[in-house]
Amino acid sequence: MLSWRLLVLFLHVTAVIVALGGSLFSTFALTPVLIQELAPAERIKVVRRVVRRLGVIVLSALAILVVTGMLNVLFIGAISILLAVKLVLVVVVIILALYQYGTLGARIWRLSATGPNPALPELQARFRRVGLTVGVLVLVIVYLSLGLTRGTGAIELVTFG
Amino acid sequence: MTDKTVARVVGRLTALAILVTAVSTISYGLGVHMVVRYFEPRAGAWWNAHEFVFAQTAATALGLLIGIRIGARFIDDARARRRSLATALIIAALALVLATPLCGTIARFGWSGHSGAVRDRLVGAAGYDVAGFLLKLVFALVYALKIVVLALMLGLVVVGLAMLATSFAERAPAAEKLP
Repeated sequence: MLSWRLLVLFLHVTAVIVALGGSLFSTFALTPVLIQELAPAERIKVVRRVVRRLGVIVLSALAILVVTGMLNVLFIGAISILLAVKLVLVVVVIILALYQYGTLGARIWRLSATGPNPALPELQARFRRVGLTVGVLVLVIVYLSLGLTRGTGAIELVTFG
Repeated sequence: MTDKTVARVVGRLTALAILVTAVSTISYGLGVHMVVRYFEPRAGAWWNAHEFVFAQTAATALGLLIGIRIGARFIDDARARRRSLATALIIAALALVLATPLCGTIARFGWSGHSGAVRDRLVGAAGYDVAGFLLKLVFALVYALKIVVLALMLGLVVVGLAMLATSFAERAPAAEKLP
């Protein structure tokens, strides 16, 4: 029941839940409520800190996701075409997440230090768009993972070489 | 450290990793240790025992460095980028010990360059005798490339963690905190 393989898989799935759940909550629950309930000056105080905290959560989750993902491949002992596609998508997701928090998040943090700024709405909209793209790609990766373990693209059927 | 110093260090480390990866991978693929052994038997034996480890480690370091360089481009602020790069280099140096066997083992899975199509093309282009020689080189190059790609992923993650450890550690002023 308890094995290293299961523990690694548990951490991998938990990291996906945390990364995806955090982004979805922020986009579809927190942001609309903040827009409705808080004045711009108060809202920006909350948003800038949420962006920072979410960045810590999402980037940490992605780090756990990549390391446990590689350990999973080690346990599986094969690389299929589906897995190769998944790895490419993971690279795209990490780059997008770095852009989201390293570029957009950092700009939001800097510009919002002195209160509301006219450049902020556009930055926040782009931040949300990139976040949604990351979310969609993570869902595609999850679907590919199901294909790897449950579908016709399972390791035994589609392997290189 | 200034921006230029950090960039120079990263640039030189990348160049060194490319050089060691190329030399040791090609040497492993072509069996260069036999030539060295002819002139200096002990050195040839040493190189034969270590060239594969050199290739594996250098390819991992190269992938990590490429990932770090790509990731660092997405850090907006110059000061944050410099600090993240320096921190990422330290994390990568520590991670190299574990990343090398991990990437090296995973790179053994999947397509290795030993397919019928590749062999046929090499035989057609270079003849049967030379093709056998070149096939081992293709195998070594594909293996090194796979390690670089796997380590690149880790490099991107390392930059993310370095960014968290440096710029994200900066806290909001107390007056700004909500009750």
